[in-house]
Amino acid sequence: MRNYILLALSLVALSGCASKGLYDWGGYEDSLFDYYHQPETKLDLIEDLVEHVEYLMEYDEKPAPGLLAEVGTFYLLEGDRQRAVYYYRLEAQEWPDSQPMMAKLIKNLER
Amino acid sequence: MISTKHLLRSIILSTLVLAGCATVPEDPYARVHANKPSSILIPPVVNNSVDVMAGTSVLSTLPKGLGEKGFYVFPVNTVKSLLEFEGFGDAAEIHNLPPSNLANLFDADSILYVTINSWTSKYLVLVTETEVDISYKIVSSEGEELWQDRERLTYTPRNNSTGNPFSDLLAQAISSAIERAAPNYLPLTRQANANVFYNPSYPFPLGPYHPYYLDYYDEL
Repeated sequence: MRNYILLALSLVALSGCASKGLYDWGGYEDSLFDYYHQPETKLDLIEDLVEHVEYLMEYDEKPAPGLLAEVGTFYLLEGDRQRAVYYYRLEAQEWPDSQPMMAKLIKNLER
Repeated sequence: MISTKHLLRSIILSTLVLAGCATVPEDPYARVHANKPSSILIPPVVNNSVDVMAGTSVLSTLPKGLGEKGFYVFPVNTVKSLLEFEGFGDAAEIHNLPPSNLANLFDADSILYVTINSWTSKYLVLVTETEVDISYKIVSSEGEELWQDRERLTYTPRNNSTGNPFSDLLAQAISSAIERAAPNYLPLTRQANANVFYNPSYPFPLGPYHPYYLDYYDEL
């Protein structure tokens, strides 16, 4: 019995140390890696990421740092400046740390 | 019946885990604690290995590792694309820029420089072992070094045992073949990052967007 108590204690301590996820990153890591190495799947990856951030916004979940800007950049690289600016604005709204960088990007795109 | 072996194992586990939560006497993060960066810029990784996919696999897994610690991590691909657009396509060249110039370009509080020193896969019959050696360094926007670490890791893809030795053997052989075709990059780099930033004995500090940030600094 004491064994189980100790085990339970370990588990409690473990969960106390481990950080619970703050954000839903979707398939960000895999998408990014595939984006670099399987360019032929690029458009699908962009679509997945866009769907993911739209889902987050619909459910009022805070998007992870950088995700909205990455979507903006994917659009920019595909030649869609308008959508890029839209997502850069959203990133700046969500994350004050990004504001100076986003402002620079937006300023350049709207010139 | 409680076996002594099990009891001992539980005690050791509890102690280890509890020790993991306790503060260590010498603070490897003293300068991070004093500087309290809110945002981290991660420029492209310098890859000194011959493995062309190693750099981007490390880059792809760093934002989540540090974002989940409560920092604002600048969008790595946006940063990479912007630097390329500015004429900086070479990671080593970017790492050689004065840190304050790089930080100012993005208004970042700190910069994380990551260098892959080596990355080698050994193809054995049933498993593929990959040995990596990665250096991590965080510098403040003023160029002061806040922290550094070096991770050496040997990675073998994991398999869940089926309980049947024959199918286990087959699964291992298949897993090894897959690792040969497209080495298991992301799980490996996630493991390396976790060893560095989530080490239970001295976990990396929390950033301001973490719910326990204030408690963390209160307890220092």
